[in-house]
Amino acid sequence: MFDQTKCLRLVGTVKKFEFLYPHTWLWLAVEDSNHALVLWGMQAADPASMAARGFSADAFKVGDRITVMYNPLKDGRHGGSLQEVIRANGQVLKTVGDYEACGKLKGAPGQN
Amino acid sequence: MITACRQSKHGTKLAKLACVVMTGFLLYGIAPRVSAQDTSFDPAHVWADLSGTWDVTQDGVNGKHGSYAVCCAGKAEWVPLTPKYRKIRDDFAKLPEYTVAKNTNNMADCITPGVPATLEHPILWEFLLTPGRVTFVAMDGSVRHIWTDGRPFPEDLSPSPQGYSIGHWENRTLVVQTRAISHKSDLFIAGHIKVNPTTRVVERFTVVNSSDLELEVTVTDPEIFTRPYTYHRSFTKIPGTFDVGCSANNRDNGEGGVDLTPPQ
Repeated sequence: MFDQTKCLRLVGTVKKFEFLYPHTWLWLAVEDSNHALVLWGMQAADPASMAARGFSADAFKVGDRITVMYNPLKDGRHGGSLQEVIRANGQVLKTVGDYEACGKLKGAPGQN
Repeated sequence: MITACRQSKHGTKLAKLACVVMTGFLLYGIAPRVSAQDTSFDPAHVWADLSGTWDVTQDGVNGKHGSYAVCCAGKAEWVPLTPKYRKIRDDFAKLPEYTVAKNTNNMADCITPGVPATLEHPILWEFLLTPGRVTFVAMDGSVRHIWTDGRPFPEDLSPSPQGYSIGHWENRTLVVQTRAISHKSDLFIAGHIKVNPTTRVVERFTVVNSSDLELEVTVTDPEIFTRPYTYHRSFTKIPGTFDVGCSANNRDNGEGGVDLTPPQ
């Protein structure tokens, strides 16, 4: 489902953070090359695992500007497997990623 | 005390007998209960380190292979599959990505993967230690009873998703043997190869220290593997507990892909 050989970066504005089972989902409004806003969905681990890594249901407010690192969906749709969140103040939150995750593959700037 | 009753110079024979009997009752009442067979609880003071919520940290430990499917489903040539199961693996790898045929994973339907695939998923789990039994509880709803009271495998076992497990301690390692696993349980996380009722699994949970645990899994099945298949994972203890649940926001679209319908 997700291309674990790629680790991409995306900057966007938080629309919603679903802190639910079986996976948490972070939704971002991202400006594309035509300056239109496109909704991206980033899947992450279950709430308990995420909580162990510093996430919580109220970790993000709507409108927060964040940078995410992710493994993209293989089918090219606007989504991915969330690996890392970098807040505007520089704080980094790592998710429960897969085993060839961004820690090894950091590089490509991503979509914008 | 009983000897003192017998040797007492005072009292009749009946009184001495009553003394012995009453002393016996007294000792029985205050003596600790020790089962001759129950060595399962708190072996080598491991229980304090083994209890708690465990989260996977690494697939493959110290250069030893991790679980096949996480490595690179369909390409891990080191997995000793028989020709029949190599073909099953290769045919599965050729399937289009987002099809019903590709979606063979139990977890995708909120069904427990069973033994051994549950622990291939990055889910939280814990051991509940009680005399004669260790109970494994996982976030996907799996509950496994591991009998540590010295019993052998029963003669007549009916297959079930978690199988029948017996365990014993080897210092700081809990060794779990499991048989009679239902053919509907996943052998690998991808779900394309299921367990046979003749499949046997040995899991070795080794407490490294108060916060780290290593797991070695060996699967034996002459129909599936040309030799025993072994892989390793490591876990770390995390604070708190976990909810058991699957479908509150299950976005698996039932076709091997993910549902990106915007949230309400």
